[in-house]
Amino acid sequence: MNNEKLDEKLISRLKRGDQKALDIIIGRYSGYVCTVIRNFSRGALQECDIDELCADAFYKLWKIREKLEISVGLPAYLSAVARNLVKDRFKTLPPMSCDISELELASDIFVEDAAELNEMMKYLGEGVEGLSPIERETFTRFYIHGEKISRIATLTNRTEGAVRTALSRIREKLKKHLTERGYDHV
Amino acid sequence: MFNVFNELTKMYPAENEEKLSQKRVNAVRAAVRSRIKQEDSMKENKTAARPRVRWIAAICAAATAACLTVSVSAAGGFGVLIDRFFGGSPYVQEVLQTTVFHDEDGNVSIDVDEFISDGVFSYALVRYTALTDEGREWLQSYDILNHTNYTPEEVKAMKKSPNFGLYADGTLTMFPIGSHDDMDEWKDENGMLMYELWIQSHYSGNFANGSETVPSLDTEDEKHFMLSLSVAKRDTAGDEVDIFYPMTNDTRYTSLNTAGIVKEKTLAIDPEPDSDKYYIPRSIRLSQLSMSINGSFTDDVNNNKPIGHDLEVPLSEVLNFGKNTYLVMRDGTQVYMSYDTQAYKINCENDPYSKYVLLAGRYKTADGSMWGYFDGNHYEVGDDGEIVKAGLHHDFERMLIDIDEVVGIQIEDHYYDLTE
Repeated sequence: MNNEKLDEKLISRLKRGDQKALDIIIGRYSGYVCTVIRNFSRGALQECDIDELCADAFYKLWKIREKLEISVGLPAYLSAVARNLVKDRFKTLPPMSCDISELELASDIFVEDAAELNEMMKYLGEGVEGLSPIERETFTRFYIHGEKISRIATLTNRTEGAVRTALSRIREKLKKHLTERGYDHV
Repeated sequence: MFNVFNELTKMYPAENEEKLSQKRVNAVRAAVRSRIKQEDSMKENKTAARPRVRWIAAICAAATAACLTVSVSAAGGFGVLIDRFFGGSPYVQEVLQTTVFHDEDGNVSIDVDEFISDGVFSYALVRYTALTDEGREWLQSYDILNHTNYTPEEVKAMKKSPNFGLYADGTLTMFPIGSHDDMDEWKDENGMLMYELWIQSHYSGNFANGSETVPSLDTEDEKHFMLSLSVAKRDTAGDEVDIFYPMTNDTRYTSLNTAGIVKEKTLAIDPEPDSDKYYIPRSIRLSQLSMSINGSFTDDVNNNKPIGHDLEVPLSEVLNFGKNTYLVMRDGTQVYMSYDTQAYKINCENDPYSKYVLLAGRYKTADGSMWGYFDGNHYEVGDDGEIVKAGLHHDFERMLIDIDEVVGIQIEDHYYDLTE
């Protein structure tokens, strides 16, 4: 059974209120979720905060399990949830010494509500399909994994400025795609 | 539908994705479960929402303090081991390890949901979960453990084997364990046992499949097994036990650390002067779960015997020695133990006087049966001449103690002071 099918099975069990399925999901994805949280928080969170947000992400998954329709795949969905949790945490924290401009740059792509998040990511997926391969990689690394621009530049043999420009273009394309589908607040 | 995000996350995996330690994953699981339980409780009580607390931090701190012990109860989904082996014993909830291990092969997953050990005695609750139709089929065919029918001749043959054990599935059943030399038909081409689930210590040849199924917990997609292990002795070779477990295509193992789960200490015993007994107690190892009295024998013949029970001293005398032994607690109460091991030779380099575990066992409630052993002399023959039910399990209720409350030990007619 491939990973996606296994995830589908686990989500199906999760929707039936099976806590053991949640345990399995946590075993499979807690490392990934912690990585995403660490990346998006840019070193501003302590280990205990990262663990807490990681658990928050899985708890949120449990809370919305009955309405869960993950057409975008569990990792991407958990990444979006985790990322929103990081953003929420920063709203309640005192001003940080690190630059969170990159977070702000990314924050308007996603929304808070879980059901809306589902639908938006579905449309977003359609928009991403229209991107070039290099744009897709840039999008994935920055918006899904939360990797730093400097790191993406190294991995893709570009300058940081070129990556920022690419991200700006990607954002405009996706914003246009989503706006055409009713997400005018994006 | 083409799932672009799945494809992209596979094509461009996150840089330096973390592989969390099992302990950390367990802490996340415990925190999520705790939160769910808290929310459920709030719903039931219809109380106002509690202020948000740094709940995972609190749980992590508690887990660190108690070596990842999370207090749980059967009502909360855990505590099966407590119910099965320990009744309502105090302290056990404090030491019960939960969600200690997880593995999967795409078709089935295995979880060690509960674990208690002091390195000598270990208990584990294992859960298999079918993840696919293939896994469900495999799990349902996991019936190699369910040999319930033996002919009387087979039973007699098995009883001649020194490696003789049991497992249970509702009724207790005989089953050969040990060297596995006679189990070639169950081994794969690599010599690994197929279908067998067992627990083994790192530092002793002892191991047990000890598998009891727990039908009351099973569902269409899940099967549960209870493993228990007595390794008779503990030395310095390691603190881990291995659990070997079959998956749909191979047999795997994992090591579980037993260190620090329960409190333990070793105290010296001043030998009784002018004793006419055949044994000399030298030290006692106390844990919350069990104790062992270490020492030697009075003559060189016995002291030079190899590991095992083949002493010159009649075994009946050894057993009598055990029957009259109990711990004395600060409040005057007496704590008895099961007699799991007698006269087992050990290698104590630091203590040349303690050549043997004279007696080792688990604490038991006073009103429990003395023996935790399986009696293979009882079996019933069905109409077709086959054994349909074998063995009587004279079990007892185990208990944990506060070792700091132990002030002495009575061994036959002599009291030994154990105050530090």
